[in-house]
Amino acid sequence: MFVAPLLLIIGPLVPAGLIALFLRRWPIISGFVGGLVALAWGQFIGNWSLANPDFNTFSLYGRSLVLDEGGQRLFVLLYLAFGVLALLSAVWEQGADFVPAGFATLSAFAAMLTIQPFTFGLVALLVAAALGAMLIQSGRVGSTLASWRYLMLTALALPFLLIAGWMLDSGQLVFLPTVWRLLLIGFIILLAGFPFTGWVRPILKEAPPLAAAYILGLGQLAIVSFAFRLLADYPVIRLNTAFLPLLRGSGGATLAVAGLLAFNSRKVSQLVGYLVLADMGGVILSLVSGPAGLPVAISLLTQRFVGLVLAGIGFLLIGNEVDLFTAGRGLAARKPLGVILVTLAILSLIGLPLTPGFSGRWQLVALVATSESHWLAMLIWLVAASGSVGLLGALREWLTPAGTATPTDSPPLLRQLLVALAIAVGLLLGLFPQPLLNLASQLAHQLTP
Amino acid sequence: MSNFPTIFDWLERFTFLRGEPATYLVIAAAAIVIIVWDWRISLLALAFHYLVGGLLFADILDPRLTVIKIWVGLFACLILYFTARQTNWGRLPADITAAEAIQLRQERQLRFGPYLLPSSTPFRIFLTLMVVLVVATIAQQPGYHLPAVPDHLNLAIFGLLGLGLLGMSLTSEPLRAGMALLLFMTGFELFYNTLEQSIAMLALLAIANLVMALAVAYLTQARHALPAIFD
Repeated sequence: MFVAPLLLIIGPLVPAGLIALFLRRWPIISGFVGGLVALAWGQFIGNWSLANPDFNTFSLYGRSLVLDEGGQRLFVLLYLAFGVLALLSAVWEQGADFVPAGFATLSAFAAMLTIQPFTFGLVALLVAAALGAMLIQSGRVGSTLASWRYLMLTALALPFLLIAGWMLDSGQLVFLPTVWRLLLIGFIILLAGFPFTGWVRPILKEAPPLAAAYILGLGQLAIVSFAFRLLADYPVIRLNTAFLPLLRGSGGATLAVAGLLAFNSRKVSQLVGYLVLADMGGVILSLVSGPAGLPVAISLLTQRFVGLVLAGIGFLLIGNEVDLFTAGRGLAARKPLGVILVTLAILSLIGLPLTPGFSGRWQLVALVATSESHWLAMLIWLVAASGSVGLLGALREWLTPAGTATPTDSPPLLRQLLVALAIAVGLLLGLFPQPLLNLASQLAHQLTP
Repeated sequence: MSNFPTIFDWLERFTFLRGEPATYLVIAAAAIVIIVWDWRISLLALAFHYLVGGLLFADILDPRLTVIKIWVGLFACLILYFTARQTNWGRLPADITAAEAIQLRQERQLRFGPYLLPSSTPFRIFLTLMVVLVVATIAQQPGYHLPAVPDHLNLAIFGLLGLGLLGMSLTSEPLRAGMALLLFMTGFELFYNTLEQSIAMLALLAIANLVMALAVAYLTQARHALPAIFD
């Protein structure tokens, strides 16, 4: 019964259920307990020895659940990152359901990545999306637009991918021209490629900031890993001449649209949303490059996660004034720590040098420039430039002194310490990006050996 | 002593509905879900669509597996029913006026003799009829005939997919849009189960449907909670 894939799927449901039942009313305690459990669970997963096939494989109704070393390392990363988010949610409350929904979604992601053949994992992805919608809401009352769009678009992607999966599993290559079209649409919807970009911005606008980091960082990491594995398992799809150019075109269009929107953005959450969208375009471009693109995609996604966590803490410090792009005069004097964090996060998402996001962006440029698409490299830099213009617009307002003198906000000591730690981590990862790059490279190697 | 009828007995009794009549009934039920804004009628139509949809699933699956589809659908309806009751069927609580409620402004009503209808109803009827017309035309084209699917199922699949998409595009209100999503999923499953009939996939799709219904219920509660009405 103690089989690795089952433990990975059922294990997180235990803390999810217990926290939802007993600790939901106390978000500080549930964040603290959930964070510690996630960190311990991640450590526990990392200690599993998967050499024994009796431990790493489980059969159910003629299907297999298999956990390999790539999956193991991925889930160690996901749990450690979620542990950090949960601990932060004990300091900055993210909603009553943030921690239980986070655990439950990781359980569904585990099912998605371990079930073979992969078509069965796709249904688990739909379950993950339904739980992810609850995570985006996290007990918040009011608008449900972000949660609904996320759930609806994932559900719309499912039929395309499931039918393509059935055609691939049944080995009927006569369907190949249909398969690549279905996969193309499914992937573009899941990865927010143009024209299905509409679900990213509402998440950053409505979801609790750390929940947005979870969905757009960790959730996308699981989905992208799944997509790369699928394409690696069926190399015949990549041989089709139209699949890759169309995917590349969608990635390029996503970048272009995000760049234009970032240039015109008038709110900080808009600017961050469009920069994340541009990053999504980058991930799609790395998917086009096949296994060589996986380390780049993982770099982009881990760095996006870091950027979104920094931005999230900054947003929480700034509070309701975060979207006062044009009326936020004097914000830097009133809330300096929040402004520093948000600025660092946006610089990272733009991918400027000496920020955590630079190395991934540089890898992406190098990747697309070698694949005879120099215009895409130009486009990446243009998007960075337009994001910088957007940031300068915000900074100009924030740094301009307000007409009347207002006191500087001083958060409690624990929050100040955590903010200092976040800034230090952000700066260190910008100066020394090698740990993140090594992590991405090793994980990519194990996911698609 | 008389025994409770088995699934085979039920199928025998409803033979007259199998095939095309079931297709038309399912599409009619789906159209009611999309057109009628009253949650009680929509939910009833959704439950009816699952019951009659069972007859369509019986054309492609073992009847014993078809029962699972019907039960899962009815459980999803039950989840949505309790949610709808808890949220006062999407209406304002009796002690709150429309002026006080910011999020849930009551839609303008049009008077048709003694009846009041939401002002968007004619628009929804028109769009639904258009979708049904397009779907009926497409389903008859040889180029759009889905592989391994009987003729009447072809129409039902396109009808449910089209009406589900229409419902999702007409509103982002979680319960109404959620019912449209469930219609869309039934349409897709009618096709997919023709291709893939393994128990594991049926079980996974059942779980996915129930979790989706839970998510829709959760979002409906969030959308219609009292603080949200004043926010």
